[in-house]
Amino acid sequence: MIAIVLRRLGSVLLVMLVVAALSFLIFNFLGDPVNNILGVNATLEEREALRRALGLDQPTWVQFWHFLERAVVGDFGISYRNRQPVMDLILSRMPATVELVLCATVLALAVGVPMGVYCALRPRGVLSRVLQMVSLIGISIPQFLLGMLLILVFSVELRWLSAFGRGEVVEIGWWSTGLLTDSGRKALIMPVLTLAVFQISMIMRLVQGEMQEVLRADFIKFARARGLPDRAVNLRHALRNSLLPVVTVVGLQIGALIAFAIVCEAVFQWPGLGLLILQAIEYADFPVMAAYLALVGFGFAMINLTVDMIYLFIDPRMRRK
Amino acid sequence: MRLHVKPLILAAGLAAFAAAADANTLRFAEGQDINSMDPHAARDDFALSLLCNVYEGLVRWNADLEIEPALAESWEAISDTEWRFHLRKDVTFHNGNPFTADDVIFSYHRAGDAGSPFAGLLEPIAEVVKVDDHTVDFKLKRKYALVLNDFAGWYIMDKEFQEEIGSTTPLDLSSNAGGAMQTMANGTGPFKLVERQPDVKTVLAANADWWDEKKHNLDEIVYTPISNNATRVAALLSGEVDFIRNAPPQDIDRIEATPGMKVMRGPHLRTIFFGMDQQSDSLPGSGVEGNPLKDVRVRKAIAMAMDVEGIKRSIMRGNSSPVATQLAPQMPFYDPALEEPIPFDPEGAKALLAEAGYPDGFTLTLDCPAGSFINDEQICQAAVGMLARIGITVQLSMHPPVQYDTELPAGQYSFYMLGWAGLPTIDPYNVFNATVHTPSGELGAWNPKGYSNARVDELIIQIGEEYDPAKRQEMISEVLKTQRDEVGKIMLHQQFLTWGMTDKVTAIVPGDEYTRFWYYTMN
Repeated sequence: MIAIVLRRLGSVLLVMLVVAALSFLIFNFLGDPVNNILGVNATLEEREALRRALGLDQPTWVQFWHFLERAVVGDFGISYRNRQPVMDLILSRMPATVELVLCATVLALAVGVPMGVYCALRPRGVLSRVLQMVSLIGISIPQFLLGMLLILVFSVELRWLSAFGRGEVVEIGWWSTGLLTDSGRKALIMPVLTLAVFQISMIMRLVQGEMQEVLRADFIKFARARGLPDRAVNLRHALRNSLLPVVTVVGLQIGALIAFAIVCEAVFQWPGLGLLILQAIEYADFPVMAAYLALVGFGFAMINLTVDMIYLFIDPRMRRK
Repeated sequence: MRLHVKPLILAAGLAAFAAAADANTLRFAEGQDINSMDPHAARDDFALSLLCNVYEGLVRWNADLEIEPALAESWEAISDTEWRFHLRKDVTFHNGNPFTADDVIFSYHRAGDAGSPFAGLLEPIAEVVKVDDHTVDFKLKRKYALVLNDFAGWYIMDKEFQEEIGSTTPLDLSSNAGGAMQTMANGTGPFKLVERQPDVKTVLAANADWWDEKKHNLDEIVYTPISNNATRVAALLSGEVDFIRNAPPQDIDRIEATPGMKVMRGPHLRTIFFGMDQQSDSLPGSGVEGNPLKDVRVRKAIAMAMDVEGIKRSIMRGNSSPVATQLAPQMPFYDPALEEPIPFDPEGAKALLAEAGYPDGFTLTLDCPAGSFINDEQICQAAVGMLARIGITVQLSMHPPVQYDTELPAGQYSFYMLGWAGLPTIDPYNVFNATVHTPSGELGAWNPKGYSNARVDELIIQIGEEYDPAKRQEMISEVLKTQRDEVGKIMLHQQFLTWGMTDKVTAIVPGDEYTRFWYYTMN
């Protein structure tokens, strides 16, 4: 058991190393931050001097080694663009993204699960067909387009919601939340909807599929034969048994959303991690990019590790291997 | 539609009420945030175009882009290489500290010492000497004509304050000292910083103790970066912001058609052109012997193939103006005698190519930035078709700006798009020394492998040193004429600025794109 965990941890480290190394290779093709720092009028000597000062004149593998040395103790350097420690920067942007993603996930579960249950119970009903059609659109519509449509309707035409930003936020320690103010809650509506539409559609289809499968199982027939009320059979027995894969997928999706809420954040000028990494790419802000990619790699590796651990506990057969 | 009427009226009523209660708040959105409140952190015209409201130099540009006194009330030349500046006496920084000669000397060292981004700008200065608390002498290393121009872009900081917060060097990427200047600013300008959340919002308030007579009527400026073009325009149309600089070209009609909105236009100092490798002996991938771009007839043929009027009509939607030389008409020392561009004549271009020995044309790679200049992508795509008409096959290679700005000066391109505005100097000297002079050391950084002419190089150096305007004009005109006759660049056009705003705002639209809010009014 411990050996398996250690082996998994080893592979987590390997994944992070590979991600960091890949990101360093990409930097070579991205351009030179020196131009952005010094401006177009800088002389060649000034450029060279700064390049030396930043260590950019050294071979990639040396730069990579220096990065690793510092990253091990949690020091990712200073952002070229913001001139702030990278970790502070990432921590200050994290709450916005996490809040967005969690709200979208809660909404997706609250809407997607009942819809999926309904479609599983009445697969031939008119409403089910409509829901299925709508969910097809939800899966296929690009986030960017949906976000712009929402802005056009609710900001430009109706003027109900703000087209950009988080509204007023309240600071609680190092965390910041928009949930405690009116403008903060209103600002969440459109980005959350944009992010949730795909999730809703996916969860609905997942629940529907799983539940239809479970409903055909013998224990459901037996439950009905025992004369249990429909409610109890459908919700207590069928739904519960179909939720396990849903939980797994949703868990993995949270990680993906935190890492890739970029489009949504760019459309709504949501000051989170996605916007930060986008700006870092435009500026060739290597320290931010390297730290972000390494942390995303770490996040995914940890989520996978946790899932693997859960499987180990659920399925004794895997422990024997 | 009827359903929508009520909420709209309600919202409009609320908005009007809110505006009245807020007095004159100018809500301003821009595609990006400034990277720091430190005016010495980078020679970045974007940052300075906003920071000019918080900090001031010894001199400044007025609404017509002429130099006028700012923190210095007068100055005189003691000799050819020595300038005396008399500082204004009644000036205080936003924190109440008085402005003195010590601040000038401190700011000189902070911005100009080796390793600082402004070292190049202040390079002609050998020494700064305090004569008394309100008099400073600048000793130059050599004759230099553009001291005032350069001083307009060099801002004065408060010595005492900077030492207090531990930020006495601008470019410290090894410690957290630069982080302090993220959210703090202490200048002398017409507006002072009251709140700043990097990448979210920056709030400026009118400086009640400003030394100059107040012409604006703004109480507050709220600056929000909104990176997505469509969202930024939506924020303007929905009444959430009052002012956006550089409205995206495709949205200009939409903004103008919206009641209560307008677009203010102005000529930009920036001219757009194609640069060419005129040094290499061969042009890899061209399919012909040698380097055809070395032949002036070939360069002229390319210029004749470019339908700049067509680009203006169908791509720029009228918001550009064809140019014959690199100087925009609003630039000092512009020469109206040289304003006739090479005429569009594809047949003539073909004949000229044949005469030069390329009847079947050749192949070129055109490198182009995606997002540096207005409609850069579309212009380059159009150029591909235009050059195909005279038999030149063009392979288009697009680059993100950060990559482009690295590879272009490194000489990796042989045919490329570039735009130059001569900022912050606003003088032909800046344009010439960056993009016309033969690359050598500090000069010609943006003319790699490009146009080279010994006489022109010599003139450029003299233009930098000559004090007499008449003599400067003569030399500048000679450089421009030689450039035009030898087709050193393929000139395209001058961009126009298109700034979107509500009817309430009256702005000025200067050719250097600076937002000088002290000229703005709202009603």
